[in-house]
Amino acid sequence: MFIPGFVIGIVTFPGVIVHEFAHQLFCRLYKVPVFKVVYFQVGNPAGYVLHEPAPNKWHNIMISIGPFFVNTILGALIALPAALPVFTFENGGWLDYLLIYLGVSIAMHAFPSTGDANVIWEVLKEKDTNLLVKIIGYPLVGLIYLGSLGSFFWLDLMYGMAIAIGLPKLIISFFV
Amino acid sequence: MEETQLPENSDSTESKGCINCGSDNIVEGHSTQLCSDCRQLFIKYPIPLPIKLFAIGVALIMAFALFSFPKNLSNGIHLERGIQFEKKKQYLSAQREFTSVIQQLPENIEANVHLLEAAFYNLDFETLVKTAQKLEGKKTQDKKLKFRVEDIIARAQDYFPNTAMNNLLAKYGDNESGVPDSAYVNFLKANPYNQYGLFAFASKLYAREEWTGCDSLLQQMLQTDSDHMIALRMQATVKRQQGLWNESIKSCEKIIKLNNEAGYAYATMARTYLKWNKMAKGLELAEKSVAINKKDPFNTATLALAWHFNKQASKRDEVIKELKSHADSTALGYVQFVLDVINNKESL
Repeated sequence: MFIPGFVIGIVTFPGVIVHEFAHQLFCRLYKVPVFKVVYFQVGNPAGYVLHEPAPNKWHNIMISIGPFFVNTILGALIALPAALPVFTFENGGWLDYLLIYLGVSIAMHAFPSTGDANVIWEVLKEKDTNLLVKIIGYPLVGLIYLGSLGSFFWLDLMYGMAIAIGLPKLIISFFV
Repeated sequence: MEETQLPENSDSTESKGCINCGSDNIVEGHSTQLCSDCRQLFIKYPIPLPIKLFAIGVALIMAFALFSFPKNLSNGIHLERGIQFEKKKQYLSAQREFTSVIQQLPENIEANVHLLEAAFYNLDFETLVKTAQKLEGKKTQDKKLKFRVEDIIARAQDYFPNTAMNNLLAKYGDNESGVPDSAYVNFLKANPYNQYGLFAFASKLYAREEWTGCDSLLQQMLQTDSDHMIALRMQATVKRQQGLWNESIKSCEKIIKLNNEAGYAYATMARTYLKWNKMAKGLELAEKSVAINKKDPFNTATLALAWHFNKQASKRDEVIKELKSHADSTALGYVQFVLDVINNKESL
């Protein structure tokens, strides 16, 4: 089923907010000035962060892929208390469903966007970019584009669900 | 979600000052001309209040939900442990785990289905019936669970009298041993695959120590369902009485293959070894049966017998004393049997 991106953006807006916040967070971590943050808007892109390019290539890459870590971890943590009642015991209350909605929305926006990939691409094209950055960077750009392509087949939603269900399963398997 | 960067002014040669405040105190080595203070200001770009409130809201909901998390986690662990035990066919341990979940979540379909299966393999018919009643009319989207319930209930039905069998029993005051042999024979002619009928008749012959006839009925049962645990259990005893040690042990092993924690199967096997004069092996298996399930007085009685045949009178008496201490009518029957064997009034 095809649903336009802006509709998905509206429905899962908490994920967009966290995604942009993650870019901002990594900018702050690497002491990169941020000039504008749009946490959410109706349209394409659903949000963006305007910042100075980081002098360090790795930092640039990390700022671009930061949401992958932040959204994944935060999505998993938010869904954690609700995942068992909703998915395993089927006795969740509305609060649990709200947390699952938030957790899945946030985790499904973990994938860096093609815009983020373009930033990495620009970094990789620069003459002074060293080989290691290129070795890691090019496949990363490919993966981001694949992820973007996968979102046509609801890969992002599947990822969000897997993260929401996965963490409690992981904790349980640790105890069993 | 696009992340972009500020290109303007980065290569500007016209503006020499800070692009924000015009100060000449530019921090060198960056693509944007910013003074130290403005650079710090932009690095710490403020997070708007609505975003902060949103984060606080989510954190509060999370904190609230976290109150129930330890209980849910504990239930999840019990359920998963039960499933792992179930995979290893350790149904006694599995039943313990599923019972823990059911105590907290009595209506949970998945835990109830697993409990139903564990109770069936443990021959715990009280729990089986109670759980089956609880699951009646419950709907689940999980086809695997649905199939499991149907399969267990279909198999469990053979362990209970059906309408035809109930009608027969009703004629004789609902007393199985009161049904004459001829009535059983006629009933089984009309209902040759009635497992409960076959078993009731086999039990009657067993009580009269008519081993050949009893064994023949049990074999008929096992032809229909080779995993019929009660038939296998009785067959193990019948074969022992016939002196067919290996066949008796084989029947016990079949039960153990179905349920690794069928303590009674180990105890039955122990009795066979004891009767076969393999006392050490008999004792070993009797101890194992009690280690698996010491609540079953059949196992404890077997251990007392094993100590007796291994000439350890004090240990035997200790076990008998323990068996007597929490004796119900079933346990008292086993105590009496042990005493009769000791006094040579009965044999294994």
